[in-house]
Amino acid sequence: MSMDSVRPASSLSASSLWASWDRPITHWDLGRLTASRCGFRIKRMLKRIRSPRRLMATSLAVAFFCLYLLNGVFILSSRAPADPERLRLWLSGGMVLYAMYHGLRCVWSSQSVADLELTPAEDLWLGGAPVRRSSLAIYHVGSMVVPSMLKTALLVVVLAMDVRHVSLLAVGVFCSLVLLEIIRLIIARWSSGIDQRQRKWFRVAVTCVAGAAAIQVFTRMIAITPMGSPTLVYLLNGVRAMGQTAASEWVQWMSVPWLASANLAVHGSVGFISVANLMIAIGTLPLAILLLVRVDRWSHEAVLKRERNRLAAGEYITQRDSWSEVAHAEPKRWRQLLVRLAPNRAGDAIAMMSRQWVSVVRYRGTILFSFALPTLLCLSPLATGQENEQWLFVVGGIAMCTMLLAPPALRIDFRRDLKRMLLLRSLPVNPMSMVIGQLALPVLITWMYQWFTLAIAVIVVGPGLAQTLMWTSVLSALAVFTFAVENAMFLAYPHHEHAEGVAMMIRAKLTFLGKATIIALSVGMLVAWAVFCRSAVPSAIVTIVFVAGAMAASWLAAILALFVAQVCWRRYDLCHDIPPS
Amino acid sequence: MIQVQDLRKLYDDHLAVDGVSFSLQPGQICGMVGPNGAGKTTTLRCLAGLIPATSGQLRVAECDLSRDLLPLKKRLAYVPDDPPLFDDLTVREHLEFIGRLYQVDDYQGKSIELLKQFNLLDKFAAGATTLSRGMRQKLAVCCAYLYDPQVLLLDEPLTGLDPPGIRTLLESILDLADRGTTVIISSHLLAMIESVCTHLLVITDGKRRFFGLADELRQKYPDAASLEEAYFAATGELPLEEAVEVPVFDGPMTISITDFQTHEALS
Repeated sequence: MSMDSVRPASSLSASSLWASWDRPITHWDLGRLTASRCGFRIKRMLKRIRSPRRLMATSLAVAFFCLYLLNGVFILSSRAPADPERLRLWLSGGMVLYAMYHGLRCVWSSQSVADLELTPAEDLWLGGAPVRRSSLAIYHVGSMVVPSMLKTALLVVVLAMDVRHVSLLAVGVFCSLVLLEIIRLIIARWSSGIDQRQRKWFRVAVTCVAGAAAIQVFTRMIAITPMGSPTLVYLLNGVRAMGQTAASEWVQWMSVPWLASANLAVHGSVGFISVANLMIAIGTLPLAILLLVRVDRWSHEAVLKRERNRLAAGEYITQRDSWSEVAHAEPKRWRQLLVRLAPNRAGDAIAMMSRQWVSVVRYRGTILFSFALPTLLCLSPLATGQENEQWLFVVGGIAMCTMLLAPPALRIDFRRDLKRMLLLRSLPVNPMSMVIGQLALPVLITWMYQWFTLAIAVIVVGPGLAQTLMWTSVLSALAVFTFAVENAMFLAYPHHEHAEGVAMMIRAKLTFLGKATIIALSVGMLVAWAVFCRSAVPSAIVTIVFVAGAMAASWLAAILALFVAQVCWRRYDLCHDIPPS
Repeated sequence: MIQVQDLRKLYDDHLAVDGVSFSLQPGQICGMVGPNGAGKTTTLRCLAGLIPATSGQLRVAECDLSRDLLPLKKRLAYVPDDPPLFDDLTVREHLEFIGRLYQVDDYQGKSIELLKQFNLLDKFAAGATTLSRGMRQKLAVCCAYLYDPQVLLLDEPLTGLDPPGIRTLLESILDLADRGTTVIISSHLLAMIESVCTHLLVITDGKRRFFGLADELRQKYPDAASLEEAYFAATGELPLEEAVEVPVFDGPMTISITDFQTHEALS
């Protein structure tokens, strides 16, 4: 055949990859692949949890499971059952709110989702195999089944009291969660396909919708809370307001895909209607997969079309241009100056920081967005009119955000370097400089968030110099402590950046419980210290001693945590500690 | 078997492959050579249908890449540099999966033969994570050979292989070509692959600099003692000479890049 008869690569729409579905044997083979991989993982997990290096993590995980089950059996089962109608609305509306949150993340994230979130091995062996995209989508959804089942099991323990048929609840919740994952992927693929101008519009639209939802929650909370109530009441009513928003008409309209599964979950009897709901809930999943395949195809075509337009318009640089560009690039003067002025011993830490700085600049939008909402939430107690409690709640909010929200928002430390551990190990940087270099920028950004929020609270409340000094210092130490502990834990029990599954879920729960315990213990110790100072220290210097003691203790804990992180970095073993992907 | 006309590939705003054309017939083995970042891997990935070409006409194993990706993937094997494997599968399970997916008759018997050929049989039940770089490369090659592809694309296949492994691989490539398979080998080790290549494709800066019989390149430079020297002579003639200013602390310094090796070393 001559080249003349070969069509130019004009469009992917005719490609056989997207056309219809594969034969059942292909799905069977892909299913076998998933089963083999699951089997291997289970065996590997059993081997790993018996390893002495992971003894502590294993013990904590077992303890967590026992406590969770005991809590479900003895505590949750004794509470009054919730109204099934409210539960239904919460289930479907909650999914919409989560999808909205994911949409928001997608449009503000600079990373696009390519090829259905396939791993490099899947990309090569499945992407290169004679398998249609629909089969890959089904394969990917198949890999979500086990994590969704586990999440379902955890939710069923909590909600079993509220329904008559636990089996229907389990099926309903499971279908809802799988559908949510598919919709999340649809949003991600669609977001990958849109161009910069569309992305800007999408950002505005999604942010407006999310903002409207936030305003609704806020106004509902204000409406149901009598003016001047304690801040704790505001917080509890905030949760109620969120439930009301999830149950509101406009959210329920958006939750149409989840209606059948939500109905099924709370159904009082097994009959024609529940069977119909079951059929619809299960039938929604292949429809969603079909939509995913269509969106995936559209996304591929849109990206390719833009690529071709740019080529046609000459909007590109050739390899030679880029070589010349690199050769002419001016080194940043301020970086050179910083490295020259820094003490010799700090030079290597600063070199590590300059690398982190590149990431901060690249992800500045996402970072700003991640801290905008926590700042507003932390400042919200200022609107309650409770003068005595405002300050403490603002400080408490900042502490919570520092411990719970800042670490996942600022993963520009060891946690994103798992693939580069060999390189980091080979660098001539002493362990403490390495730890400081990796942690400095996330900590600095958290400090900026803390100081900004505290400054506004100080202007509104006027808590006095001692309080301002003490909390600024204690919260700064808390930021150091949090990132040091987070990285120490990562180095002791590393995981991949986007790892999912049971282990990650348990890890997240345990970390959350650990952090909550630390916050509670810290508050307890602070109160005990205050009581001790009041009773044992002369009143003339009680404030100074109390503030100095609190500051010294918190910084001591922070420095200790830094040393622990350094020990964990020294202990990190390239042979044993790199987890399989 | 492989027909490429004016292939161009754009990544964001960077033109990685710029108008490459060549064609190969069944049984021919083409060595694709060029410096790092020349566009070799991108060309191979386009040919494998893993990434779409921005423009150009590509026909591989009787398939038009703008429409027949699925049949193409049945007939083509692509082995990348340092191939990613499923960390949660054993060697046996890798071959079993490929055998089933490509519906290979007696894939178990063929798998054993291939593992024997590449001296990997003792790793039959081993997990992929326990394999060395060279073993991973061998396993990927075994997977590719399992379904007798009409077109074989190998990206830096010799990297990480031990000398017996290199010999086995080169022999197996000749064997496949004898049976009508078209092979492209991307490699920096021209001295290693010159004995098996019928054709050479030289790419620099995303552009084709030479395509033809390996002997033609030799004849073009009769003073060159080896094919590798002829290759350097050919690329040395390329219009690479340009003056670039490299900023340093004490002021700009002008470097004149006149030959391929210097260019490669700097880039």
